Amino acid sequence: MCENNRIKERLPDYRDGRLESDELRNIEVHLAACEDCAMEFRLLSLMAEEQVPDPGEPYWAGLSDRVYREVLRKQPATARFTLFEGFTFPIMHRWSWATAAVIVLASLTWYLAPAQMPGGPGADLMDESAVSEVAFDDGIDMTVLSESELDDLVTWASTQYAALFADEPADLLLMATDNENEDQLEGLNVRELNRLSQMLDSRNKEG
Amino acid sequence: MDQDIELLDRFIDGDQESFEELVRKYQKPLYSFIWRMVNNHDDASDILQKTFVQAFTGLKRFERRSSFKTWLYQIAMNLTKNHYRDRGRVDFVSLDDVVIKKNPRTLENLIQKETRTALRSAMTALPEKQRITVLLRVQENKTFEEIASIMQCTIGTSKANYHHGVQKLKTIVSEQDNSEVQDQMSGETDHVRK
Repeated sequence: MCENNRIKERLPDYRDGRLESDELRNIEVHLAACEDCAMEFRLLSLMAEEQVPDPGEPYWAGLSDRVYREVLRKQPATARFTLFEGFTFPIMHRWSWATAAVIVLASLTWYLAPAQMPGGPGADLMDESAVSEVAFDDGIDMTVLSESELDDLVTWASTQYAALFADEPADLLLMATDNENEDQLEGLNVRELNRLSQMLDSRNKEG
Repeated sequence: MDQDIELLDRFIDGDQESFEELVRKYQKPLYSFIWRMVNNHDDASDILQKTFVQAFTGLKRFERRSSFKTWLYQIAMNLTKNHYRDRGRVDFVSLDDVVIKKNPRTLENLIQKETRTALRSAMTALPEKQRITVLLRVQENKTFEEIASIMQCTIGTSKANYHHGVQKLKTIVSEQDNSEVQDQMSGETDHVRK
């Protein structure tokens, strides 16, 4: 058996006439002397001559369209919407629209609900009650309030801090014991409160 | 830039004519390659269409390191392998059966039409990689570099598969000269195991 693989590997090219003249001559000389390679060459030629049956022109003519329809069916994401010539964009999946909608809603929620999301852009847009709380924290001149307003304020304060006290009943009890006179203060009107305030101020000045 | 790559880019931009040009360019060589592996039109046609569909719908996986042509051949080869595995059987013909069936005494007998069919059957007896390599080299005129690229192996491996495959095919011919074996086989019934 011939071991000249270099010749054997080139036999298909020799058969197809794809060799340069030098190499062509070498193979011709070799085939004339080597029965093994000559037999292999005849075998390869026999295989190469076998023709594949042609399915006919109608088959080839319709293949492209069949494949294109199948490609579109299997790849709807590549479909494009043409608004006008030269301006097309891909048609997105339904989940793409759903994701976009969720992002928009989340952004709106973040913008319009500052109380729940500190630091959001709407944090400065405080409602009326928030303004009152700030003003109260800064101190309020109760002398300008009418009696009814003062009553409303006391009612509001009781309601506002009830939950706080309810969380710590022991502290509330202690506060009530230590500050039992506070209950009496609720019954004072504005003038009495002012008088009390002036009295406390003068005592403070006296030391 | 590679002409095929240009056509591909135009197809991606929505140009249907580029798509048709690529299909027309490769439909016949691919059909020939597939037909030689499956030996019938229905399967070859089905696999050919799947090859194009898979190639064009899977362009994201085409890394453009090899040519589009090689990419198509890789897909066709893998689909053909899967086709037989899905069917759960592979047409198998032993080399001995081919000799029994045709009973030729010399290589010249092989040149007859019937014996060409026998040779095709003998091809199916080769291991898959050897069969595809011989087919690509001899019948599809591919270089060893192209074969290595399609089969995703080294050039050395593709050459080794080729030499082993051709050597096994030649065994058929050499066995024909063994008259003792022929006499023993001549009375047996032709059969092809499937």
